[in-house]
Amino acid sequence: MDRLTLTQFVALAVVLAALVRWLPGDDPSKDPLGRGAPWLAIELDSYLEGLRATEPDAPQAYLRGLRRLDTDAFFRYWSRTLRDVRKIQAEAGPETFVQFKGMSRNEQWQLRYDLYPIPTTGAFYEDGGSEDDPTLPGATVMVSRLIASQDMDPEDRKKVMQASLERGNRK
Amino acid sequence: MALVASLALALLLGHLLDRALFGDPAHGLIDRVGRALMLGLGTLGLVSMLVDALGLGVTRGSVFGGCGVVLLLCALAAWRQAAGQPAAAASRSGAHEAAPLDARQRAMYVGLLLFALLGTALAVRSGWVRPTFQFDSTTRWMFKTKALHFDRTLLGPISTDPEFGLTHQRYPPLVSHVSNVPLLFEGRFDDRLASSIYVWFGVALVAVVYGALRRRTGRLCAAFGAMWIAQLPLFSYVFAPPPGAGAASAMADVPLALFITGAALAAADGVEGRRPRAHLEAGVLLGFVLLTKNEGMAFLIALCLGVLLAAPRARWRRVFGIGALGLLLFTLAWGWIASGLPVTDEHYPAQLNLAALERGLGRLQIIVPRFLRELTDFSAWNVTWPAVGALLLVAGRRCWRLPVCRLLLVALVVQMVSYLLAYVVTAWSSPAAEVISETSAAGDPVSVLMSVSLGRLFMQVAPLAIVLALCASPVETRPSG
Repeated sequence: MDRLTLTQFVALAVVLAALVRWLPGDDPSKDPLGRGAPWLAIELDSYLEGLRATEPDAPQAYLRGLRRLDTDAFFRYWSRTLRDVRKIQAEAGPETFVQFKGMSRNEQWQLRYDLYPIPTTGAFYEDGGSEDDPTLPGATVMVSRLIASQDMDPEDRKKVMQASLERGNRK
Repeated sequence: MALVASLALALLLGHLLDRALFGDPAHGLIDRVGRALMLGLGTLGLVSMLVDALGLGVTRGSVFGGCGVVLLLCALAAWRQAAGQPAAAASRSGAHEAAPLDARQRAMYVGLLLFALLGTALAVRSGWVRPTFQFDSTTRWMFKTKALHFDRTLLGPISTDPEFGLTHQRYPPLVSHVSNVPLLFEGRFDDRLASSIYVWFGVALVAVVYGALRRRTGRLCAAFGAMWIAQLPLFSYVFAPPPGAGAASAMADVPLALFITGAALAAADGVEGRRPRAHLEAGVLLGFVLLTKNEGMAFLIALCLGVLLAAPRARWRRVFGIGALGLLLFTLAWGWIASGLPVTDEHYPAQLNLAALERGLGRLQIIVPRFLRELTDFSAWNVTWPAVGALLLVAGRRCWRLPVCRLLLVALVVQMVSYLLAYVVTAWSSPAAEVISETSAAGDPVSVLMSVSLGRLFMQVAPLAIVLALCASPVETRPSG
């Protein structure tokens, strides 16, 4: 076989591999060829457009929970939290600041982005912060109910993290 | 409308810059739009960064005023060039006569282009529909965009107060400045609007690769290259993992891939003497690379080494010219500011020393298998990496004999080795990693870091690898119209 034929063979493999993803399939994660993955993306975007029609923050809330083990619980949690954020932003004055209680570091960081430029404070859960932290004078308090009730038992948390890593490794 | 206005401004800026500085080497609409978008988006970000560095405040007046000055200078230079060299322009446009495709080739060409368009359209739709939600995107790139919108600068507390260390204050913020442009038009903060401009770096990437391959290898190969990139699952439709690798994810990896590919292709044009001022373009694009992500610093070495080994003559002068221009742009717009900002645990140049290398060598037993798994991961890459390897094997000695391939190969290998070294020496940790380390058999946070970042790093160089494989392949080598 000459070089040109071999090159054409490899090119054909590239085209076929790209095409096969567009074949209908039920669950790309269980299919070694990942059939149906582009259709899932199209479906997801259509779903998000529908969600936005009902509530502007709903797509954001849905996506933040999408890769978690308990997608529905995270969706509900973030919907409620982002509603709270909008309310705080609407009522904010020059003195307003938000105190997080019992929230993990990563959740606080995401909410800092959501709330910016409103100042925030609060000890991370990982550093011993809890719902029982004393409230600072004038603070608007935000508490992470979801994390407190579900993820924060140390053993459960390890399980969740381990499962997440294994899922990442498996792809 | 704000997004359309931002893209129109980028296209105008990029096209005039291309004509004024680089002699408009594009052939055909796709090539021209790709180059204009690449240069325009980078220049928009650069102008905004320079405005901020001068302490003028990133406002509608200052940024659009700065763009106006650039537009005026470019228009004047382009007009003078057109008036002074009509014959050159005419000969350039007719330089590559069309090599007509037969009916079968034409059908393949159209099919490949449509398939490329499908992948790109999918990414564009996702970029418009999906809000920013990825953790790294919201806490870094979009956080800075939001700060730019509200504070009119990135030189305030967001960059200096350790409380905002989460934003990775030393990270070069070119893409954050670009995504602030639609907000300048709109006049209010809208995260979906700001993030929707990111995917256009991906559109430019597909078009730039098409254009460069069309000029080098012909239309059919160009359409194939465009399709290959546009249909990369991680680029256009695979959601995760790793988070944030796609063109629509409002992360800086696809923008970096665009500038890396553009700089390497321009440097290759210069090394081969295909067109005048290609080195100047490579230097400007290298500046954009450095202003987009920290990984750009590794690419500075990778590209310079590539040029050094590929250039037939005046090697050091070319390397110095490209590298110095890139570094100059970086220093003026960000470098001198960043040197005074807090350092995070992801500041790799500071961690790269012999002691750290020695300490981290044991990690290779985690890193190398993970690299190999990523390279053969069908769900993320289809058959891309094995196909690139196969094409390079088939090409054999052409990979090293052709200067363009030598340059791209050296740049690609050096860049990937830098990723490997970064994992070896990293001091990265996070609460999640600590939990994993307690339970994982490997017991090393690097396995967590790789699970969320390796695909993104490979996305930065995948287009370069594809272009290398196609340039080395014994396919059409005749330029066609």
